[in-house]
Amino acid sequence: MTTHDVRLTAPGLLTAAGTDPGDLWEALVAGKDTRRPTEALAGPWPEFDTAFLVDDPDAATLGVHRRVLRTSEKQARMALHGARLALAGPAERGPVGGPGWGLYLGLPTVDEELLRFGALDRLHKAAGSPAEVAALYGREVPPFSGLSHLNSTAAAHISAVFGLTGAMAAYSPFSDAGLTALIDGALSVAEGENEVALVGAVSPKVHPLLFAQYEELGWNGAVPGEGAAFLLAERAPGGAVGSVGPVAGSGVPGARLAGYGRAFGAGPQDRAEALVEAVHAALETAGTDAGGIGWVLPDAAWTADGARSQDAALDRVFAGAADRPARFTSEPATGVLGPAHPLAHAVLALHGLAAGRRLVADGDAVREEALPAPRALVLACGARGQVCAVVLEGAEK
Amino acid sequence: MTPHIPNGAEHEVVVTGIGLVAGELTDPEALFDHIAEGRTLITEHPRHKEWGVPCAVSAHIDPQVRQALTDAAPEEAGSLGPAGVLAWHAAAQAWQRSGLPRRLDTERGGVFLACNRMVMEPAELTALAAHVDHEAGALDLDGYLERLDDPAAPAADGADGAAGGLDPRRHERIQPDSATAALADYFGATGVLETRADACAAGGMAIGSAYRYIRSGALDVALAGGAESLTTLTAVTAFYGVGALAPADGRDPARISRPFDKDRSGFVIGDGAAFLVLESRAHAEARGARILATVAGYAGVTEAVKMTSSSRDGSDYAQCMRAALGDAGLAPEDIDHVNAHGTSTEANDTCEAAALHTVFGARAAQLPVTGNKSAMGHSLANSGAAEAVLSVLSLQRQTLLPTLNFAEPDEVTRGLDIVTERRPARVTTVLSNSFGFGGQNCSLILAEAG
Repeated sequence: MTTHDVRLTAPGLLTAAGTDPGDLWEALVAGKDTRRPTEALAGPWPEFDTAFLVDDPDAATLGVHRRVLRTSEKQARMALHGARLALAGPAERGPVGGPGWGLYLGLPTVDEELLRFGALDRLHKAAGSPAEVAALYGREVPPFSGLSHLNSTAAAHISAVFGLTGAMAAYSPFSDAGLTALIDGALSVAEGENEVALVGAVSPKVHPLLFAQYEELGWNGAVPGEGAAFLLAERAPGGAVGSVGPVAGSGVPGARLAGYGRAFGAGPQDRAEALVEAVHAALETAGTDAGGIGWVLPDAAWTADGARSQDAALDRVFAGAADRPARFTSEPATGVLGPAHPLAHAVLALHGLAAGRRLVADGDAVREEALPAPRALVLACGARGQVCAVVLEGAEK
Repeated sequence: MTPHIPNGAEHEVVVTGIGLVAGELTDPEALFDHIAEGRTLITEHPRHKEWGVPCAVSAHIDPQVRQALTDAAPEEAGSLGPAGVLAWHAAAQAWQRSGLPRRLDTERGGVFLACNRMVMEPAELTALAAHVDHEAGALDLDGYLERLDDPAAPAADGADGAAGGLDPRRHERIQPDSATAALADYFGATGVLETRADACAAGGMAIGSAYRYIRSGALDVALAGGAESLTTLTAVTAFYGVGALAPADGRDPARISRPFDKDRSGFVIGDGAAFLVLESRAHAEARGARILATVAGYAGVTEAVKMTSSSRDGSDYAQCMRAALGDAGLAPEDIDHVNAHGTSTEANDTCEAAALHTVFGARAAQLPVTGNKSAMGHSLANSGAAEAVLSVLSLQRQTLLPTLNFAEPDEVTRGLDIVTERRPARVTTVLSNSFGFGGQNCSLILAEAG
């Protein structure tokens, strides 16, 4: 088995801040309020009535026939939009798709009632009669929901639209799924299974039941957002393993996945230890140490336990570093993006690495400054204790 | 922790344990014998029949078996949902049979689980409906959550009879990665955790992913499989709505699913779980483990056709099978048995039959093909894992299982050797296919232990 050097290129990002990594960068620096009112929430809880929403992409935006909309949920459509954003540049430079093009996705579960709210009133009245309930289901369950509620629908639509027929994998449902997609997608190219892997992740759509799910899992009140983040892991032509530099024809400087680590901490007490372990593994495989990291992008911790674990782990990892790298999250402009959050951070990091810049939180403000080292550390903290860490390295080693 | 940079090394991957639950059966050999005797797990679903559900047949888990499995799960397993309970049993059985220690003392183990999540069932929705402002179309979440947390709230008659429409831990229990994390924690297999969402190919793909991690040297041991528990009103109605399920039409439930038969009309949904313990040969031999089979090759690919059907000429499925053969370094003539996806839908079986003709040419007429879903239903994400377990048993027992209800081919399925009765045979290498809605395709190649 031969191995290949891999570059990360073609970042595509759909968030409440816009449709480009640059949009998000600018929104964060400007402190732009990207929240919008949410519908279908009433009552005293949650205590806010806005979230970080994106427009539901229409058929024209997605470049598909309108029947695709009938066999997809908003999550799949956001994923398709994110994939289109990432592939727009490569498609201008040459053919996209074919057996060498694979697909690796981090997907949330489709978490909603199958009956529309309008039908719930009738369900409430029919509840005493199972036969009436079954008949109501027969009438009211939306056509195509048997397809659209499979959380792999996003993969199907992306493959069909872009002609991808290479090796694939889809993971769910929390933030570790996004970085697992990145790690496995990059490995698939490194090991020769694919020439190019489209790597992406999408958030859950903001729906009332998402709040109920978060609450049950220990929600700390962080505001959810919608979006999708995509990039390409592609074989670097002629490059030796470990080499760094721009990828011919890709049009963007090629960063690389320099290192990664994964670990598991079942309980809150174990999670910080798992994060430390994952980060150390990522640093080791990247051939660097804490001092070699110029920017840290922790996961959007939407539970108190997760936030504490992440803070404790980063304090330990960087305790000995002469200059602790800035920690930064896109959350003020994107909200919590679930599986897409770490990958959105990875795309933001690629944007920063390409320019040699980083963002730093300064109270409520965000300032831009030079990256002190050409590497970014991105973390994912899955809700069940699965944690991932990746080190992304820019062209200027 | 799995820092791993590919260095070109390849490790042979072997199977050292298998576990399974399906219908009222709770081990792989029981299912193998059941099918070998020409018996099915597909029966009428009493509640769905009573309620007038159009497709009131399924290969559901016997309620008493489900209760026994729930009771048997240790406290450390945590809060497991309907699929998680099945996963736990199958995984624990595979682990115990492998002879591995109760917990690994290495970080070079992983868990790879394929599972779809459940959607809200009527009782859960009824509880929710009480808190919807139907004029405004808005939900009073505060009131809904208060009711969930209220121990005095009346338990609704839940989905398919399960009490507990107001389960305050519902979201935790039904998320597909709950069982992944619980298994990893219990068995100490925490190096890589993957919860796969590749539709009906996910079970095979979970095994394939584990195989790749072991082959490359990143892991020594993996627990890989699938679990599904979707014989519920909501899932049945949704799949019936897209025309995927075979209509019952008063027919004998045992005869409705008919893979490759000219009268096939759709699949019958099933529940179940199946797991394999995979190890590197070096790891297994060092501890003196009994090797049941090897995983010789794998392909898990996407395709680019459409949501509801693959290429009618079978070219997408053929590409997947050829990729697996290439991965194994084998030629088509090296395969001596095919465990087909064989859902009994018109489209899938047409595509798969065409692909088999394409890949195996004239030899397809002498290559025995078995479809297990007419006996155990289609358990979606679990199906590929269950069929891999049955394929391991075919290798061990040198016996091919029958494809129940196959009687007469159509134009495309003609010319295949569809096995219709238990058949002793020399079986050295099995190709096991799984093809998901929308084009997530998987082929595994399992071979004799060697």
